[in-house]
Amino acid sequence: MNNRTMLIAATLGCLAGAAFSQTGMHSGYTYSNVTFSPANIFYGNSPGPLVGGMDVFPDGRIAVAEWGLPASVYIIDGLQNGGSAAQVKLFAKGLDNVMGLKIVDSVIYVLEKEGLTQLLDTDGDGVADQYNCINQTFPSNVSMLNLSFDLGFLNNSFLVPLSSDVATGGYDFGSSQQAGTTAFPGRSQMYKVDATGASTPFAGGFRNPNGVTVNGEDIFATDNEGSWMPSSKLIHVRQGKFYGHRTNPPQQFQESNNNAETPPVVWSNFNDATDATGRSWGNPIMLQKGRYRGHFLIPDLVNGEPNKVVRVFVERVGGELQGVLFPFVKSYNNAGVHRIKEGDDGELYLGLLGTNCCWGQRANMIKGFHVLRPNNNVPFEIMAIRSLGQSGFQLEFSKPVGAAGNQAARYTATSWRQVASEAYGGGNRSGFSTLTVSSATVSADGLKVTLQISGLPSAEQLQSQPGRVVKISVNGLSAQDGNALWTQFGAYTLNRYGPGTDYTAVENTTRAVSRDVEAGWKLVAGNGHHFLQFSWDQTTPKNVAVYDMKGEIRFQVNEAKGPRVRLETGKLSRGMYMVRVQEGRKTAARPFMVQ
Amino acid sequence: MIRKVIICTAAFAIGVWAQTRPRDPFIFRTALRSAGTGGNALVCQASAECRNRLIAVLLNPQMTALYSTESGSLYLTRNALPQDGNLTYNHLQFGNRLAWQTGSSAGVTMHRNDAAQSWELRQGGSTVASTIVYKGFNLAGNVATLKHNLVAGATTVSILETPEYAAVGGKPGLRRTIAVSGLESGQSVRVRLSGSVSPETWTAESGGTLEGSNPIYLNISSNGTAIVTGSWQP
Repeated sequence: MNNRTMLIAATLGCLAGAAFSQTGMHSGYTYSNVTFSPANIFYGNSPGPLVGGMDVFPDGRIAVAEWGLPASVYIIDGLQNGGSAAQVKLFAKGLDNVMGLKIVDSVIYVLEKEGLTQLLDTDGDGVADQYNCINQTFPSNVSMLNLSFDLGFLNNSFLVPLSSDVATGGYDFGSSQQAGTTAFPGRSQMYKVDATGASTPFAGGFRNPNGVTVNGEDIFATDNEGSWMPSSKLIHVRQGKFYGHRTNPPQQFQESNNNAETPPVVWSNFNDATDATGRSWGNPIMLQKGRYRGHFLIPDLVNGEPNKVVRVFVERVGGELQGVLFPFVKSYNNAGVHRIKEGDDGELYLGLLGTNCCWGQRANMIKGFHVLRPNNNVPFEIMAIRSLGQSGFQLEFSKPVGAAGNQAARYTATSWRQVASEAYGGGNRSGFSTLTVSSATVSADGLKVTLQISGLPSAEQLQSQPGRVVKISVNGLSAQDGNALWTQFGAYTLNRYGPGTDYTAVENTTRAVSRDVEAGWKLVAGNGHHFLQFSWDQTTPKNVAVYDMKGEIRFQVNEAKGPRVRLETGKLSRGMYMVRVQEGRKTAARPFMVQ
Repeated sequence: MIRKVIICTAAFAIGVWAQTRPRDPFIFRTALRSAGTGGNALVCQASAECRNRLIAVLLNPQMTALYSTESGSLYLTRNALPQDGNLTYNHLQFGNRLAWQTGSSAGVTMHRNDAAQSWELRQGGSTVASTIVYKGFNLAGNVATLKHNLVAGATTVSILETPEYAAVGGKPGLRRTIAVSGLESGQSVRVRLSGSVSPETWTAESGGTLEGSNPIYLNISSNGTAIVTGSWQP
């Protein structure tokens, strides 16, 4: 985001605590009024937090880290199961610009600007008493937007994405706009940090990678428009790849890929007037619940943008991922949304860090925390767009389309490519063209419309120039039940021609297991040990075993009774383990990490 | 630079502060930009006055201690608090961090230690190659304990340091309580105590001995706790 964007945001922005407006709310969700107790506990006595990082515990509590310095972590309880009265507890404080918060094994980890920190409550009073540094070796200096962003976790490793070395005005050190300087080495990369704290560069070419998530073994990140980033994008991050943002001198993956940029899953349509998306994206999430299961949601933190949350449907074509974005939550409340998480009942938690101006001025940024709960309403929207090859696309709707669905004139298609240059931000559309929709054929059930489109590139052209955006707009089309269309366009990023297969959500098994387990016991990390705290019948004997990841039992406690069992995990080497509790015929297990 | 080295135990009264802190939070990560010059440069790439990866400990209105998480050193002491007002700590823009107000109320920098690594592992009296690794800190009420590991091959020495304000003969001082574990037979550790800027006096109270005059080291020859107090004439 540049200063111009911030100025626009300041013009359109609202003050913290401004009245909520339903305008732009997705009708499949209901805004839930949340009250926090104690009131005004957050930074600056604000009624809501300034959300830098956020994650959900297996039991449904929410951990929120505020951005800035010194920043705090709060634990919010009471919003599970439809609750609206939230109890807030200050868990940790004195943290530095937390943009990433991840809960692993019910332990909070935060990515501060200059380090990855584990927060432990070893005495069980609900307040962190250990701030353990896991890693602080990734490159960092004191210059402006040298930010560490969201925090991911996969296969016992943390995923740490770093901004490029951005200076005031939005250009990097080392760019032509910062004559006589060079970029701080090692930035603009994602690092993997294992349980021992060892850090390894994983992929590069990022500018402001402000969101990370995983789905199964796949890693995804968002990046934001700016220099060498013509529009924001959702990236399928793979080891050793380069994702487009150049530095001077070049970082290792730019060099090893000889500047060859791996195309994203989806480009946003930045600078697309009232349809614009992706001015400054936060974290993506892969929805696990409801009718959008398998779709991504991505928030936008700039106030006043027309689309605050977009939805992305993804196909796997020729082994690669590509997809289409749709408006989802539009410009409700003029509030920027920085972080989004899904609760166990499909509710959406939105953490605000909207900008009026400039990352550093906390007092001027929009604070807040919103909850959107799914309802029974089914809006009329485009659920998916699938590539059919050079001949066109198939649109899938949430409801049968009305009689006008087979009128080709109801559909328009435009196309362009996003080409990176040092020039700031969007507007770098190359090869913009209007395509011809020659026919529209409605399926028997009325849910699908096949569009024949001419003017799409050949397969060879697409291979040499992937990342072509095809925006399909639908005009004046209603559902058979008369509902107006909510999703009036989809912007598809063509890297290869389909047909492909739908990309689907992989169940978050760790969380599912943990949620079952949490009903019966809780694993609490201590200094050199863990405690198992039982909430089941404490008189019933239980067998407890700790396994390493090879399945070997490392130690066990049989016939344990009472409120808790002490596990001497300090004797274990660092790494992931599994603890299993058996009570009669009931067994539950969960993974945990020994640092 | 005038430097006084006093190797004795409790040569004069040391009043340890009662552990109330001037601000909440009193310990946090930070960085310095144009430290000591009052500058506000946005570019710090070539400036020796810029320092990142610091832990600030606001012990007392007369004592702010900054520890470097890279060198493991007590990097800087200052007999005042950073600019504040409303817990913003002068966090005006982006990476801008600690700053002190100009004028007498801002106090002065009393100590700065620019050594690349302050801790050494010694075997039979000789220094062996080692790396200092910052491990975070513990909080017990208003008492913070910084944690470092000194790693040399298979040897990991744990170093826990609890800093506390101490008024020494009317001068601002810092008591460093250092607990060492993991030393094997024949091993010892030493830490460089002295910095630059102001005359400073270091006193070993227990568990260690002082060595040298410029620089001054604290030697700890066995597992256990050493206490040393430094004071400055601002």
